[in-house]
Amino acid sequence: MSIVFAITFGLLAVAGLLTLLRIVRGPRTLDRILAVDVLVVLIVAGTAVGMAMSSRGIYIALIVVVALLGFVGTISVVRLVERREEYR
Amino acid sequence: MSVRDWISAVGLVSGALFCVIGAWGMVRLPDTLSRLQAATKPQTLGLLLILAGTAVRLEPHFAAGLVLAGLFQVITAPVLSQLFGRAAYRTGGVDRSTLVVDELSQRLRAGRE
Amino acid sequence: MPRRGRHGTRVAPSLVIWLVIVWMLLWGTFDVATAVYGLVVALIVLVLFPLPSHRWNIFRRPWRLAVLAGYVLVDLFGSALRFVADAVRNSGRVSAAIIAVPVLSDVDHIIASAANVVSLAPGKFVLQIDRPGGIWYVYTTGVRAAQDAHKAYDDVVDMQRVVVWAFGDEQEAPEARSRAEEAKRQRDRTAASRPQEPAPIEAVAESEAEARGADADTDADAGDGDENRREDR
Repeated sequence: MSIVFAITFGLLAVAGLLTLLRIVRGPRTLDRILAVDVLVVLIVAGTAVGMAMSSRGIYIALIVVVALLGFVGTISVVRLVERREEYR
Repeated sequence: MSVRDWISAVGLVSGALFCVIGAWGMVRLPDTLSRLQAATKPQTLGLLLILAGTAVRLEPHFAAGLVLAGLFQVITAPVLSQLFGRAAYRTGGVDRSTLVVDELSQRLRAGRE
Repeated sequence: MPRRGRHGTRVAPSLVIWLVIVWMLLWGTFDVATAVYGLVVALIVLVLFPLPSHRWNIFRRPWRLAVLAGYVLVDLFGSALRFVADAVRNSGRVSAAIIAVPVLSDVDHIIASAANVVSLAPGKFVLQIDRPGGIWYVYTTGVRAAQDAHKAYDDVVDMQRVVVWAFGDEQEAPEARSRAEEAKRQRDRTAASRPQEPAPIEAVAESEAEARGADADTDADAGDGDENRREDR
């Protein structure tokens, strides 16, 4: 089973690196926000895998809260960017 | 490995694969709207699979929280993509060369004539 | 037909049930004490932050809700795979379309849930909702020819029908079915009058160009596309 966790973590790390690449490259603010949102989802996924590995549900609250906060944060930033760029 | 382990393994690895595909699409695709597709949809599916893979390994009352997280993801993903899509379209995040038909811009133009 | 709920501070029972379920999932314990505390918290929340009341009970028909959930899951899987296949085959080159699709319902919450269901399927999302006109503008990827656009159109109409069937009341479902058939008939008519291979649009929507104060280059392009479009009409 540990090889499964290794593979999963490896794949998630690759996904995270690709997402970081998009954050660096941009080119628009919206792209970066989107990439950060994806990164939050990846972190949630990684935390879940960590819980599966230890078979203990100690980070459940963390997962739920991070998922919700990520959503609220992304929405507010998108609205801000939309308003700022629309009339430029 | 028990049956439960197998289910968990399939969920975890396929979920992570979907996450990678989504991230790969984010890097490869040309404009914000298509990246949005790659970012939100395979990500959602990937996260759901990973949460399912985790849930079968936990005690039931922890799994309930995972169900909640998955539910939030399913509810929030379309809201985000709609918001992002509108913002991207309005601020010029669309690569027009990828569009075969654009009935929205036709409509916008017709509205002003 | 638009039936709007009475606006008041009446506490909707479905919302209370929903909040209690969320509360119990959050704590992960399913006993009476948690339910009672959840009930108290839900009532406090709903009294302090009243929502416009609506007569929508999502748990009224759990069987149809389950069918809808299954439909969404199957759709999520199927179109995720299709999106991946499309992206791999064309090595990241995208060919997309924004198509106008009529809305089948007049009830706000059904339109909202249908838009969410459509947006959850990979390769599609509702870009803009024209509420008074009853039109959605749906962005879809993987459109290479007119047939693909028509298939996407039919998909969206079918999805809406399932959502209305699951959430709407008794007379809305047949109404939506007839509207769906009408919409498809209209689509066929416009498809016949339209060229089989839609010409690529190089035009930029003028409103955006104006709003952004775009440079002369894109303005010229927009003018070009405009000419084409007028000939089409």
